[in-house]
Amino acid sequence: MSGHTAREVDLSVDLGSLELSNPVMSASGTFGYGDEDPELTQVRALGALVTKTVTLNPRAGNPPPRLCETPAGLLNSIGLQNVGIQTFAREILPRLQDLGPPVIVSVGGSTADDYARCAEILDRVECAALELNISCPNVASGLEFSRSPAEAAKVVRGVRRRTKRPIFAKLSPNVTDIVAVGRACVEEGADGLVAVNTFLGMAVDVEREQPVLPRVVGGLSGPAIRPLALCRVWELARCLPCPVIGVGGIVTARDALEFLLAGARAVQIGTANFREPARGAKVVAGLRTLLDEKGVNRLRDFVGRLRLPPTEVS
Amino acid sequence: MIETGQGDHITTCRAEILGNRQVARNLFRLRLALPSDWGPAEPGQFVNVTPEPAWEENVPGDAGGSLLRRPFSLAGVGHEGNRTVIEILYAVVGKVTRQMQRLPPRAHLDVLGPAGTVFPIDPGAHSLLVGGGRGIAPLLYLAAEQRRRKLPFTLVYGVRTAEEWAPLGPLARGALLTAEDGSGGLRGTVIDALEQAPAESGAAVMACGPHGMLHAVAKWAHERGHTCWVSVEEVFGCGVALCGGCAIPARGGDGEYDRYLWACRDGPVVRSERIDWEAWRQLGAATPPAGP
Repeated sequence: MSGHTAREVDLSVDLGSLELSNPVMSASGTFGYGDEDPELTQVRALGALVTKTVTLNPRAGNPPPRLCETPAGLLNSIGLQNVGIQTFAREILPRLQDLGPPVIVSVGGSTADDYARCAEILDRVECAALELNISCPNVASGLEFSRSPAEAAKVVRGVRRRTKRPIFAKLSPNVTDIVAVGRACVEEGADGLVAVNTFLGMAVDVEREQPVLPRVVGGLSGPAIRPLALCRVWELARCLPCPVIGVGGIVTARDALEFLLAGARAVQIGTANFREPARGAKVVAGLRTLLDEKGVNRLRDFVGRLRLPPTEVS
Repeated sequence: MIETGQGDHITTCRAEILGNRQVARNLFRLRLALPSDWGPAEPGQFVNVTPEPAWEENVPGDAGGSLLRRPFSLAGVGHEGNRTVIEILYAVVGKVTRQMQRLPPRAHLDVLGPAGTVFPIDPGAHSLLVGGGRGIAPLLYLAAEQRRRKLPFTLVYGVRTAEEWAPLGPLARGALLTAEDGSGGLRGTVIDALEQAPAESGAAVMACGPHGMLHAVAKWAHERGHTCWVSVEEVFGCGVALCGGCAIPARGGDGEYDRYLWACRDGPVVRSERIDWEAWRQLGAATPPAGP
């Protein structure tokens, strides 16, 4: 134990021009728009709030059942149910500003132009940054943008032209070379990368002899994917110079430290919120304690300091 | 109609188990002690529970047990000494309920709640409270509350076979009981029982049970011009509108966004007219989850 109190650990991080008081965010789609019962979720404690994905037009989402719990994981097929960017910007976003943390709006679309038009609308209102959801597996065109570096680049390019705000591209792990897609995004002006969205998964109801989810496949999240997500984050962080925000199965502060050691500049808490709506706040408190116990005064000094064995194969 | 508040004060807390015993074939009653300031809860609301130990910050969170909570309607709420005591009914259908069945008195269960909408209480109407199978749970709470307030009601309780009846205690008086196989009470379904309900009853119908039963009750009420409220269920992710997982096909909305309502936030108690029963049936409504 070091001599000072846990409160003194400096958890602040920067993601390009965006400064956060701590590295813990909500993951898109696991925290409503951000203002569902702020007392229960303790949203105020988060370093940043990431909204549920908003699209140009309202979306009904997918037919139920939309969820299926699997070992240490959750398959979902929500399908981006949302009120649409106009209603969001007019009625919901203003009240998110009062919650405390910087607000990062997650944007989705069916075409590159959809993303650009959303960015244009958001540029006229208050928000801290945009997260581009180019990797939702549960909508028709969801994965197309992040399966090809060229398509991903097109989305980022269009958005970059419409906004000066920081842009983070949320990548899909369902690709052969995630670094290639990430690099394409960064070259078009993305300020950072969020890795990873859900893994494609499937469950079968043996009694009925049919898929559990009406769309057959869904996105797998939760502790089951943590080692897989961590591996992608590490690959991105060591290959690309931009900030990487790690997400995938993080439950505890210790899990978050794994991602931060591997090079993530910040982390997002997703599925764990479903069991404990205040999980993010608990991770923030846990990080203070654990870093203090390790004698770390500043989180910035800790990020990426993974010690690799000399025999590590590149 | 009196509408009451919802979602006023949802918390998570560790509840102590006071009792956990079988009351009918594959039906268990769990009594839990919570702090005195828990709630307030009202009939129709639910709790979302997990028997798993709390996550600890310095323990890898790879969650060997179940990941998500499971929702249960409140079957009763009272006070004992300086504690709030709640009751839920559950059937063992999978991994979590199997774990719950093994919990001894004094063990703990993590409880999120009370959450969701409530059954409205109309002091001017003789209401029909209709429960099917383990769907009786929220009606027991509602009936006890109506009885306490000396409001007229008739309780209708249908099961497949008589062994499935949970004991009704003082609520049994005047209740209409049906068993589909004729092993007790009236032979048939709750619809057969509704036909025998007191003539002055029915202005308000409150129901909870499997999809087919709810749809039949809603239709029965609609044909007679009665107002019908149903308590619905889908697979829940969070129970507090963070995930949007518990979608139920809806009718009567304004646009694209209104095609589904969320059982946790817009329900569990909703007006029966708001549900697209046929679409929901085709999707295999509220099938109990298979497996672990």
